[in-house]
Amino acid sequence: MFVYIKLDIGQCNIYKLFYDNGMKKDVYILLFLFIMAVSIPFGIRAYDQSLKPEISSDQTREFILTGHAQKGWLLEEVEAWDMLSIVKHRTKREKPIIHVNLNDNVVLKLRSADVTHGFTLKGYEIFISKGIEPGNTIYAKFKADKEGTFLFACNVFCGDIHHSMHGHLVVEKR
Amino acid sequence: MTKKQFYFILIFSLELAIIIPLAPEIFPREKKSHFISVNAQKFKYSPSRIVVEKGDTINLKFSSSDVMHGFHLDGYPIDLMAKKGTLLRRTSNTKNHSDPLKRDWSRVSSVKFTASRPGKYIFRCTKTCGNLHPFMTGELIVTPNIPYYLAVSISVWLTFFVLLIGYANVSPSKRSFRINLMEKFPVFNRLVKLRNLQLFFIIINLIVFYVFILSSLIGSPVGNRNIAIVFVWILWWFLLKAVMVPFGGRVWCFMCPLPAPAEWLSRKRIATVRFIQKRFKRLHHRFTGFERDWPKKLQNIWLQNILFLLLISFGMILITRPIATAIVFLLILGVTLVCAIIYRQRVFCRYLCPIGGFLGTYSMAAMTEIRSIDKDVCKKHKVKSCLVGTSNGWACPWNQYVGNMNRNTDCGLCTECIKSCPKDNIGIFFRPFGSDRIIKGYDEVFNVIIMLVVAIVFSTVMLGPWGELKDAANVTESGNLTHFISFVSIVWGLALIVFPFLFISFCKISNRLAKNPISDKSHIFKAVYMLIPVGIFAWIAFSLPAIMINYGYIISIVSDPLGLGWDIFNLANVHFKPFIPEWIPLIQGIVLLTGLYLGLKRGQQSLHEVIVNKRQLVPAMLLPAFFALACVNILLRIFM
Repeated sequence: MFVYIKLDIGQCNIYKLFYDNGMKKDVYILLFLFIMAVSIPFGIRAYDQSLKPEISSDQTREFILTGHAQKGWLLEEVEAWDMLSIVKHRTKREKPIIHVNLNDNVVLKLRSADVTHGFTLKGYEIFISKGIEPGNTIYAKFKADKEGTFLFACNVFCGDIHHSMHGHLVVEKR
Repeated sequence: MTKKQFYFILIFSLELAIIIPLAPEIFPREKKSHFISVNAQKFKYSPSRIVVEKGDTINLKFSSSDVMHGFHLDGYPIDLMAKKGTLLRRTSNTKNHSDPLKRDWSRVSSVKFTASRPGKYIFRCTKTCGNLHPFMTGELIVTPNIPYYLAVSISVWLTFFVLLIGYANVSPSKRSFRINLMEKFPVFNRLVKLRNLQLFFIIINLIVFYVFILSSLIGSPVGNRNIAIVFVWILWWFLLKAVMVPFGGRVWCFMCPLPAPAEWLSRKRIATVRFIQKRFKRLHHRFTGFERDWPKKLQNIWLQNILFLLLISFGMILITRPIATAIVFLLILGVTLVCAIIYRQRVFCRYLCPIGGFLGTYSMAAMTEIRSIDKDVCKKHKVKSCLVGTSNGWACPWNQYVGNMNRNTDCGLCTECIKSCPKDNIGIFFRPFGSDRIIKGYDEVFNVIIMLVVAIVFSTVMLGPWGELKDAANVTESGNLTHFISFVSIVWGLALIVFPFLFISFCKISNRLAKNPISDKSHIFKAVYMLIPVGIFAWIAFSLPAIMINYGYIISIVSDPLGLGWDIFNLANVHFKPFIPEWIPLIQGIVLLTGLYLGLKRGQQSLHEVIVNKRQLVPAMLLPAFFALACVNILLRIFM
C-alpha cells in the first residue's frame, strides 16, 4: 500500500511543491506521528470505557454526575475551560433530575470538578463516605426496583452551596 | 597583609560568625503552653504564622470554614483532616476495618505536642481543596530560629571573606579544568555524530507534549490531578532549573518539541539534510517561506524579557490550570510556525521564546560548552561549514560561527556543527561552573535582575504563608481585579525599575569608590555577572520544595495520567507524604549560601579581568556584593 502512495505522490505535479525525493525517510516519520496522534486518544477512550462496571442486561442507564462547588450537581463532564472563567456563577441553579424506568440498571459515574465531594442516595442506601476526590471516578451501581422520587445529595462539606447541592432520581413505571 | 594574618582573620571571623547566632541558646527560658486554634479556608490558614519558643507545649485545634482541608506539620507526626465540625487525626490503627476512612483516621478534639526543635516548620494542606491546593501553607516558627540566624551570619561572613581574598595577596588556586567529552568518551562521540540523535529526543518529547495537550483538554481540570501540570510545572521545571541549566545550559533547546514542527516545515526535511550547492560562503540550504532576517532593532532579548514578565504575571493561573498551560503551549507552537514562514532558522527561540532569554544568560554559567578545539584551524578554513552547512549537517540554526563563539548564550547545543565540520574540530567540553563572563548589553543585565526578582516574588507568593497574595495572583478564582493589577504592577515595578535602579546606582557608586578604573557601563556588565549564580541557585532553592513535597503527585499521576480515575500501577491513591520536609529550609539555606559564594567569586573574577589593581578591586565590588547579599537575605527570610 505504501508503495502506491509513494508512486502517486511522485507522479503528481501539484505534490512536487510539497514532496521531493529527499523526503523518503520523512514520510515514515510523519506516518508514525500520525498513527500516534490518532491512536493515543482512541486508546485513552478505550481504556476508560474498559474500567466501567460490567452489566449484562441491556436495560442499563448510565449517567455522569459531576460535583461542582459553585454549580452543584451537573449531569455532564465539566469542561476544562471552566477553570478560567472569571464570571461569578448565578446562585439560582437548576437541580438535576434523573429519570429512569422501573427495574432499570443504573450506573452513576461520580466525579468532582474542583474539591472533594461526597454522594448520598438515601432511598437506595448508597453512601460514599470516603469522598469523591477530584481526578477520581467512583461508579455507583444499583437496580432501580423501587418506584418514587428520591433525593440525592453531597455528604462532604464542599462550600457555600453545599446545603442545597441536591438532585432527584425519579423512578417511574414504563 | 601576610598569609598568617589572613588565615588568623579568616578563622577568627568564622568562629564569630558561628558563635554569635548560637548565643540565644544559653539563656534559660520558661516553658509555656499555648492554646492555638487554626482555621482553614480556601488557600489560607489563619493564623498562618505561629511563633512559639523552644520547649513550649502546643494544644492545637484545627477547623475548616469551607471545604475539607488537611493539616500536615513537617517534622512532627501530625496529620489532621478537618471536615465541617469534626477533626480527624491520621493514626496507624491496627484494627482491620473495611472502611479506609475509619481504619486510618480517628476523631480527636485537639492535638497536643511539644515544639522540641528550633527552626521553621511548614504546615500544608493534604486534601485537594481547589486550584491552589499545593500552595496552601502556613508556618510554625520555633524560636530561637538558630538555622536562620546561622545562615544570615554565614552569608555576611562569606561576603566579607570573598572581599578579603580580593584584598589580601592570597590568590585563589587557579585549578581550572576543561575536558573534551567527545575525546574522553568514544561512545559519546559516536552518539553525538548520529544524524538523528536530536530527532529521537524531539519525537519522544513531541508525543509526550501531545499527551499533555490531550490531558489538559479531557483530563481533570484540577491542576494537581493532571499530568500536564504535574509533569511540566513540578518535574520539568525542577529538572530545567536544577539539572539542565547548571550542567547543560541550553540542553533543553536541544530536545524542545515546540519549535520542531516549524523547523521541519522550514527545512522541508525531518531526518536528512537538504543540501544545495551554492557559491562560496553562502547558506547551502533553501528554506520554506520568505527567508527574511530578524529586524536589527530587535536583535536582543528585550522582547523575551517582556514576554517572560507577561507570562509570570499570570504565573499562578498558568501553573494551576491545565487549560492555561495548554493555551500557552499551543500559542507558542502557532507563533513558531508563523516565524518559520516569515523568517528562517530559530528566530523564535533566540528572540521571542519567553524562557529562552534566561536560558541564554544562565547558560553562560553552565558546565557544558560547544567550542572549536583549535581556533587556528577555524581561521584557516575558509568555507566556515558550521555557518553555511554541508551535506552532513545543517547550517547552525542559531546563526553562530563556532570559530569565534566565546559564550554559550546563543548556542542551542543542537550538535549540527559537530556533524557539518569537515575538520572534526568541534568538541563538547566540560568546564567549571560560571566560565563565560561576557555580558554584552543592558538587555542581558535586565534579564539577570528580572530573573532574580521573579525568583523572590514566586518564593513569596507560592511558598510563603500569605493567603492574600495568593488570592491576588489567582485572579480568575478570587475575581479581585484591583488586587491583581496592583500585584502585577508591583512585580513589574520591582523587576524593571526598583531592583535595576538600585543595582545600577550601587555599581556607579562603587566605581567612584574605586576611583573610576573602568567606565560605568563596563563595570555594570562585569558586576552583574555576580547575580547569575545567585539567581540560578535561588531558582534551585525555589523549585526544590516543589519536588520534595509534591513528588507524591508525580507517583500518583503516573498511575492516573489524565485524572479520569484510572489506577494503572495501583499507586493512584498514595497518601500525601513529603520527603524529609523538616530539612527543606536548611537545604534551601545551604543552596542559597552556595549560590552567594559562587556568585561573589565569579563576580570577583569577572571584575578582576578588567580591574587588575587589587586595591581598586575591593571597593569596585563592595556595593554590588552588598546587593547580592541583600537579595540572598530576602530569600533566606522567606525560606528559613
